[in-house]
Amino acid sequence: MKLHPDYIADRLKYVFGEDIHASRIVEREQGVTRKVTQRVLHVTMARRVFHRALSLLKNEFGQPHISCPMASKEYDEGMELIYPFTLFSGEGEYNEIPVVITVFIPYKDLRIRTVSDVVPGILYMERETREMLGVMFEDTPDDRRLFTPSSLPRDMHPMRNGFIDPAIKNNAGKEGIK
Amino acid sequence: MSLQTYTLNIGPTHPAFKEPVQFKFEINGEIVVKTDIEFGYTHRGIESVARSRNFIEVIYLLERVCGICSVSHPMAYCMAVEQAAGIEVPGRAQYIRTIIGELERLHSHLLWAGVAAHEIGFDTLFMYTWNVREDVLDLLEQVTGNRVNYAMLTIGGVRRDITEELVPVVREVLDHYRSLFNRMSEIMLHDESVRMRCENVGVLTYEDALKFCAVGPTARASGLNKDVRVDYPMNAYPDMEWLRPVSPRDLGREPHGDVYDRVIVRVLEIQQSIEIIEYCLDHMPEGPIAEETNSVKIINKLKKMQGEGMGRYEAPRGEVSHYDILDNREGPAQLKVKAPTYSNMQTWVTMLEGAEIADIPIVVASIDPCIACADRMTFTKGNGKIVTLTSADLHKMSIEKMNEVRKRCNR
Repeated sequence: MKLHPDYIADRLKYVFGEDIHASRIVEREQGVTRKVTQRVLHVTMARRVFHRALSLLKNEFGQPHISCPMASKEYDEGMELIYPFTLFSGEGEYNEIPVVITVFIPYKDLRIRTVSDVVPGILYMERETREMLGVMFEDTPDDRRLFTPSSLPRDMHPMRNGFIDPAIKNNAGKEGIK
Repeated sequence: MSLQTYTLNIGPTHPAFKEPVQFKFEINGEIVVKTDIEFGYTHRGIESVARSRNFIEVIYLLERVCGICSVSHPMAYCMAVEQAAGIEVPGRAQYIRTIIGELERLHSHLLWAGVAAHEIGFDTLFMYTWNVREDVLDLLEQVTGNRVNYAMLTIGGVRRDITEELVPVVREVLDHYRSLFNRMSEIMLHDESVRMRCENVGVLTYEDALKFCAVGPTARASGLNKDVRVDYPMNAYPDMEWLRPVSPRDLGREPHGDVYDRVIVRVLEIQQSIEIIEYCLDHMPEGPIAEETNSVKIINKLKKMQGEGMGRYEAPRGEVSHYDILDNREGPAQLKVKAPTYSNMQTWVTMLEGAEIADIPIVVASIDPCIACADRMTFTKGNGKIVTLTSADLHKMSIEKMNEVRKRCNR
């Protein structure tokens, strides 16, 4: 069965209605003598339906694959977490659909339910996001650090905008550090 | 069987790894019951550094993510930026990118074959493959100017052409590898002692490969036909209608997901890379090698843009992906990088369950990890007694097992 990104978008809108805030398909032609089209589906959805939406994708289109750790965009009120998934991987030529899901999380309640029960391969990436951005993953089976040293306080998140390494901050102006 | 277990720490530095990582095993007798892994010993904050550099500088920064995959990361990054900014790459540049990427795959798989051979105490094969690998490194130096960190890519194309004079040089090296291929595959795939050390060891089932999002040869050896070159079109790969993900089925073997299947996939991919490069040399179009060669103009164009792009490339170890956000800046506002080992690391836990201690080095090395070397390990026995073994001890255990296997083969 050929998988179409617009069908996936329609299915999500049908089930979750207004909780799907936006969707768009980015197309790009590839190949030199034989042209094929790369299609990436971008979906923005409400945090409260994210877990159910991913479960639906898994049940209807097969096990989602997480392609890349979550990127983020920070705003005044909160941040967007960007999950780059792919669907239907390995089942046919050019029949894999990247689905990039964006979820907004306010700073005053920086938490989201883990999806490691739906996509077990995402667990390390959630651990990285927890320490680097400070997002709490509810019901996660493993909340330990992944990359940062234990000497870094848990409320410091190195990939947040404006983060300054305390070692640099404390030594600013001293010899050798400007 | 006794249920008493003891804890075995390996790492954070160990000769099987190229970067530090710490394994904590729960062992019953000689058998691994449970595995836990700790990372972060060489986290360099490259994504954070990238935010303070311009779009062109980031290419050369990303070459340093991995010395072996030093064209794969810039490839994924450039594709992400090109997608976000709508930049078209000339056909000739797409072919050159493909050739360099496949030359990198050749040298990476040969390097891995040597490391794996060393792990099972087959040092003759280790020296043979690393000797053979020198030819492709010399070729890369001739084509790009460097053995690693080639600085070939730029946003919208490549920086150097493969000229008419270079084409016969590339063909000569490919012919050389083709003539060696039968001998290499005979040793790696049909040597009885290699088979006995690798078959039914470190098994990763199809279901677990899917569940833990395994990538590259590790996934394909488990029967998951996932290959970004085929699944997500880019560069010159769509032109090759015959291109398919390599599988142990190509050798008439149903995938078991063991170490031996991973050897098969990598050996067959050496042959496939030779075919891809030859195709590219035969069909490479004429024309420019970049949309724009002036770096300042590229940066000026990109700093007026907003957008997001996802670049994915099949590195020798598996899928590399980069997510890049442009936001009216001279460099990326946000960059997320995923190396293949990041995806494959979680599969170690299931692969190592039930493995013998002497098999740990080859199982760990079988995913071709991009994590580094170590030289000590510590046993903590249940009674509180601590025994420290050196890397030489662990390697000795692996060699002793190989000698036993050889004796059984000769019997």
